[in-house]
Amino acid sequence: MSTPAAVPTTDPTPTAVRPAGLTVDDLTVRYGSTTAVEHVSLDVAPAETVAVIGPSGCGKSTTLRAVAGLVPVAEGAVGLAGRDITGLSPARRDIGLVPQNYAVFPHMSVAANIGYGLRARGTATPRREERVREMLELTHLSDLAERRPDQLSGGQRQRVALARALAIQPDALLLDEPLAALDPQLRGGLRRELAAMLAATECATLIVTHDQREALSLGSRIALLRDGRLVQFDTPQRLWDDPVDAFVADFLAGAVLLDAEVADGHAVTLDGRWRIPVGDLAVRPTGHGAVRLLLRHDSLTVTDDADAAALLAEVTHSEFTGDGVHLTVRAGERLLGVRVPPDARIGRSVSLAVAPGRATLLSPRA
Amino acid sequence: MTRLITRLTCAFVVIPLLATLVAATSVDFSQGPWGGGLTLDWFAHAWPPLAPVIGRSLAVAALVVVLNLAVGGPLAWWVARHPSVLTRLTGYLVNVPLAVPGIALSVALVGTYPMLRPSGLLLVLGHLVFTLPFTLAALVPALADDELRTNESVARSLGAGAVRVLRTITVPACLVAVTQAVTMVFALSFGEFNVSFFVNPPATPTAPFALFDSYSTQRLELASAQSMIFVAFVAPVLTAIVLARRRAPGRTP
Amino acid sequence: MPSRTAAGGRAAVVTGAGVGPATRRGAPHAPAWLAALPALVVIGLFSAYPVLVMVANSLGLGQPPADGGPTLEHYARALGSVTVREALLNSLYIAVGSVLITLCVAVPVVLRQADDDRAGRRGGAATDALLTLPIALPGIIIGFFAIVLTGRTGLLGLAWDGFSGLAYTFSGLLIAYLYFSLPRVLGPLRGAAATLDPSLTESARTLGASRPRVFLTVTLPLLLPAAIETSGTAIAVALGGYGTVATLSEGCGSCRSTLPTNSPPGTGSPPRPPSR
Repeated sequence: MSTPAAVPTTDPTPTAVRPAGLTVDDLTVRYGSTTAVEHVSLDVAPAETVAVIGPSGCGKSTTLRAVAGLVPVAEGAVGLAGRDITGLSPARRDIGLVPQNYAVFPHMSVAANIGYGLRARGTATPRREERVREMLELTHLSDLAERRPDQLSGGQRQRVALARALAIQPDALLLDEPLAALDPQLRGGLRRELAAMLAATECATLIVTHDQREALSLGSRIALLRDGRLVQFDTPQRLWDDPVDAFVADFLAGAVLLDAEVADGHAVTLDGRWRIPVGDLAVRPTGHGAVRLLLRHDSLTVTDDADAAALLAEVTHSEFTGDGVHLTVRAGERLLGVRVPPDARIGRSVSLAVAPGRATLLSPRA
Repeated sequence: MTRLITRLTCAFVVIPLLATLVAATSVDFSQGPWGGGLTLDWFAHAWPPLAPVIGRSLAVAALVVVLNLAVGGPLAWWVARHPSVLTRLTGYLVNVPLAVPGIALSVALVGTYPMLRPSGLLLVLGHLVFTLPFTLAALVPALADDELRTNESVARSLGAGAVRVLRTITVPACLVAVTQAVTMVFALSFGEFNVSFFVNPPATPTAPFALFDSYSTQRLELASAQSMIFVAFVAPVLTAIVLARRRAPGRTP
Repeated sequence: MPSRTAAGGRAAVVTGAGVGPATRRGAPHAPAWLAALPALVVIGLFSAYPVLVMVANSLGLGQPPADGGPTLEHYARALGSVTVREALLNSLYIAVGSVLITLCVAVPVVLRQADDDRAGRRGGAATDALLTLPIALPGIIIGFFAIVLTGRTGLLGLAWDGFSGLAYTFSGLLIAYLYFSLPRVLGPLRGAAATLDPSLTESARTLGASRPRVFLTVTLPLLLPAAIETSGTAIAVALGGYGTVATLSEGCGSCRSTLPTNSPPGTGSPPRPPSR
């Protein structure tokens, strides 16, 4: 397919020349009177993968669509490889988009799908065919090149969509819920496969997901959104260890974050109803102000001695998990989780103590 | 039970066609089926006067199809992609010719635009107005499809311009719907009688009008032969519609 | 019927909120409604305007020679005339009657077709094609069919005398309109039947409902909206269906009058059905 010379060349520029990857600066998107995304700022370095995560309706997909140029930006700017692309047509952004349902063109073969963007850019046929072959190899689709999309499995479609997006050597790759459309049993394997393929690319990758496992394993940094606002943007480790608030702790790690204060070598929380010797806690520095107690599922145990360090709580629910029983207990207004051995005898109420070293006290001073 | 009713309904549709065929091949139908023997003479007599009329009807139908796509296609796109109160109102407006009896609208057309009648322009426009609802009915759901819209965004993100997206993604995805619209519009225009009857330029009738003339002035056998010729032109088009509809995606669970 | 759009069907946030126009910022471009303009002009000029003029004239609001001043006199006169009233009623009986009978036939047929399609049985295409065919046949041909079969020398008349001349009676006309309405009801109803989820009737069956009960309490209510919409359109089309009546009224002075042949063109050169 011949095209005029006006089409911008897509030959690879060495990544080193690019001043930056993808930057989202103070982005606001409105649909009519509702604000879907409000003052969100992100950046993705070249070859980095950032996961955008949040509950449904938090604005994560809108953010992705704004970066792709599919929804109008009300305020803020989107930059890519040193260019301001805020007002650019989607066709001129050099962004590879993999939507949630993969959008593999049903009337084209696998190879034609992968070559679509190159045709649109007027890449010469030999170069295009070579590039398509490379992409087929990268995504292990070489044997399926002439297949029609309706003969492919979900995982294969995903790879076609990925290959098609990567074929144009985009500056940024956008994946919308890349694994949500696949069978849960397959997700683990495909997640590892996807991570391997992403590692082989040089472009800035943005993944939108609602699954914290996906975010933690695929993202080198995670941006957590709620109600259209960015709540925390950091590495998975730091999000896990030092969540900015109770929402982050709960959403990402299923953990409970309690406000606390330290007095007389004790951490005091739950309005003074629970005093825990600091010696029983792991103390870590926090970058987020106040003293807080971070409790995960393995942080608590049921104890027989009702001493001052124990918390009396009421069992509201118990759930068999194979190697143990997960109890949901209520202490005052708060719900906490605790695991007990499967043969434990549990009454209506229990005394809780922290498992030494398993609960974390986040303190501004180390 | 339902199978029996379906069979009977099919018979109800087929029997008149067969009966007309019998009449058209009988030397003298008034003496009963194949009375006086079997003959194809009536077809030989029926064709020469019908030929120019059918040619004209085909031309009108083809023109109506082209206009439907040229005018109805963009309209369908707008209705499908920018749903609002305005598009809903437009939907009602387009359907007016379905609700107003055909002859009433025809009479109104002739009364309002008598100067357009002799050229045949009014006939074409009348047919256009009558067939647009069917074009819209076929195209709007196809264009509103979420999957198609995602595919279009992906194509655009891959660097395809608007024309290329239309040519390589939108049109192929709507091919079945377009086929359905084209064939339906063609068949409807070809067999349209109400508008044709009143709006026809008197000197140059279209096929249904000529048929009507035969019915009132010619022998039953000759009229039967002409009817069968007419059906022979319409049947393949209808078969195409059905095949297109059956290929439409989303029918299989 | 074409006014239905399926925007934002999926629950996913991707499209749920993204129904609005995809931007093409950067390249300033024409507003989307411009695409609809040619069609709207054609519809306005050749559908809406003539109808409005006709309504205005009927109310005495037109220009001369329409007699001056707003009036309902035309309607009063038309409705006062016994022939017009009778024709109107006959038209209504035939249109409504034929569509209702068609509906009774069409529901089992579309359910059978949907079943066959789901089971992947063959022969569906032939049935489908056959049942769609009458939509392209002008009313005059259907009227002619009636004459061939049940006219004075009709084929069916040979089998039983009662069929002779049936074409020119009220019931003959009703049957002819049945033929006319069949494809117009079957088509849209098929679409509705094809989208019925078979698991609904299956669940109802496992809950202990008999077949007729499932039909009455599950299938029929689900088909009802489509059936009402379809029959509304079909009745309107049948009311204006002129060709059948025109053919059947040929050489049949005694046959009952219905409205379409009774509304003489008020303007232009009135083409009369050529008479022998």
